[in-house]
Amino acid sequence: MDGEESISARILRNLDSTALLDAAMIVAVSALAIVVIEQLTPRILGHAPRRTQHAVMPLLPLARLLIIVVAIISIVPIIIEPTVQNLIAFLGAAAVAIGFALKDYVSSLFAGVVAMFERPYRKNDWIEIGDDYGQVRDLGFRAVQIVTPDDTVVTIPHGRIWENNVRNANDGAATLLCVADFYLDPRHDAGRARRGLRDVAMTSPYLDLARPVVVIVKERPWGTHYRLKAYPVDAADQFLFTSDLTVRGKDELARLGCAPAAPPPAVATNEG
Amino acid sequence: MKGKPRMGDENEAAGEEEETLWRFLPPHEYATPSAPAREAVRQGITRFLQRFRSDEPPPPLDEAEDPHGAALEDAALHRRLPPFMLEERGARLAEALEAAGGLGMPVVIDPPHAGGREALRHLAAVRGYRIAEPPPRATLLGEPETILATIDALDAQPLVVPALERLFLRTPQSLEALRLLLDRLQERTAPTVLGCGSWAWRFLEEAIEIDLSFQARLVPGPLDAARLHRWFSMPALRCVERSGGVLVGNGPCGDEPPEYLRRLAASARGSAGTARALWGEALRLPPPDEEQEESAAGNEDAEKQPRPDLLVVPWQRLKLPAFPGKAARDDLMLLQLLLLHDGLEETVARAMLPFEPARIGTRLRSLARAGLVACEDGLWHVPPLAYPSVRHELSSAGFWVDGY
Repeated sequence: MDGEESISARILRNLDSTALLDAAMIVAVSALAIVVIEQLTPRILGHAPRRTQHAVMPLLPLARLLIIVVAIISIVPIIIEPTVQNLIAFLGAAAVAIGFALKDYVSSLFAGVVAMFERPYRKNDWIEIGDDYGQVRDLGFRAVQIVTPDDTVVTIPHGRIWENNVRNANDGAATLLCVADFYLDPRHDAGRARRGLRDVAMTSPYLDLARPVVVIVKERPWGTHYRLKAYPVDAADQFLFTSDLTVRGKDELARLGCAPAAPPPAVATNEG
Repeated sequence: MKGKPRMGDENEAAGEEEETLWRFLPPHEYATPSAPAREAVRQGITRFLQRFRSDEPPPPLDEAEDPHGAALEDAALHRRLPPFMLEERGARLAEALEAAGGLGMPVVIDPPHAGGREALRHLAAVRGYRIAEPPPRATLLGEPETILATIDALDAQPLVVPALERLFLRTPQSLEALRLLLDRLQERTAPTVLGCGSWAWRFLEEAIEIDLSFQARLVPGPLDAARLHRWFSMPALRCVERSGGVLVGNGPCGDEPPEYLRRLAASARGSAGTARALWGEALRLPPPDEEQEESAAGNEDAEKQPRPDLLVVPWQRLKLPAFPGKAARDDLMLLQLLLLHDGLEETVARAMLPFEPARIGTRLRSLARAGLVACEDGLWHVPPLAYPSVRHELSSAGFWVDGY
């Protein structure tokens, strides 16, 4: 018993009120710094050019990590006698405990660190992990939060990147490719229909004019499949943009005398 | 016989170039006047601070409380503003068109309020060309091919089309009709000159590759500070820089343009109409107190120079239309559409934007309260004073903008 006490006494410092106050101050200042950075930065960047936003916002989790690491490095010497043996003993014990008790949690934390450097997703990116698709709202240490098109927040542990593919629709860019599909009866003037659909995209107010507009035509057993591909100015408008292309595309095709295809149910299912 | 120009000729030509107030240049020679570095920093800080302001537009400043003097009445302001000089502009345009001959049908690309359309109309009047007047926009919405009949009716006559942006709408049907129209124009044997707004040109470059069909392109040359200095001095005004502002009085003009005009030229992006509107907005009658101070001070400057009869509001205090907070994307789409077509009726805008139709009217009136749009004869447009702010906001939000 005395031996155990003497070991703990050799590792831990005598924690008086001053030491505790120092530690508490470091925790408080770090927490305040994180809150200030996370609250103020988006507000400051709110009207900055979008390129600046996309460059700076992904750095927020890294800044938060740095603050926490600095805080831990500052607090540990206050609590522990900072000898090499003590640190090795402390970290070893912590590693074993964490390894057994919080395996998945720690796995996600490490995956979070990897995600910060590999950047499979950044804040405001539109990503798909498994069956979940949405815009990245927050990047935490353990998990990424996305908002789906149905306005539902989904929290996905970073650990999912070990076994799942991550699909990133815009990869840090402000915009992403949108596709509107049209299925027509094959008896029509394909050149006119193709040009009409291109004009539909060109005349959409959501269109990013600097990026290409492409119409892909493919003949199917049941008719002709048109894919109108274009980029909106803002990725957040992707659903409005696709809807606009679809609604006005149908009007234009009707004006050009193109009848919609009526695929047999089985074929339609296979086409998926 | 043409030969290599002598050095003396080159210097003479360079001197003439400096003298030329109005120019029409190939687009690649257009250089937007740059702001002094200090002004660029100030604008950045001002725009940053605007983010934290209320979304409600600030109440208009009571003229009686304006420390920089009262605004001029319309008639007085008109006397103090520089003349449009349409004859001079038309003559320069004619020279430029002659120089660009042989490259096919010429096109004058006109940035907002730069005066290219007016120069084209003047040229048409001088030369007796017919002018292709645009049909009502509502007609273009329902029957865009109407424009073909307009051109066909003027088949063998020399023609000026001053504003192509008013002959189409951003709809698939209208683009189809526009392609036919451009084909007919290309087939014309009679002299034809085309004018097109710079926003419409930028759009048509991508939509129908119009730039491949028209190689002879001209754009009104930008007015830099030196040119603005000379132009603004024409109503016998003398501009003297004083502690951030400019004093204006009767008398000869100095050689060096004040830094104020460098800021103004950059803000107007070289557009004559925008620069003129900014200048008119800045002119004030001196307040009585200041007049007394000026005469009481009796300093050397006052002895040497006649006392100014006008003041110019210091650049930092110039109140220009601005977005009260973060611009809504719907508003930006609406503004972009107005710039693309050089103004639209509310009913036409309602049919062209994918919003709730009633919302268009609400947004237009809200933008009008902030001074960002104005309505004349039922046509909503972006006025010259608001253009710098609107263009900047569109560009910052990632929307496409014109090339000037």
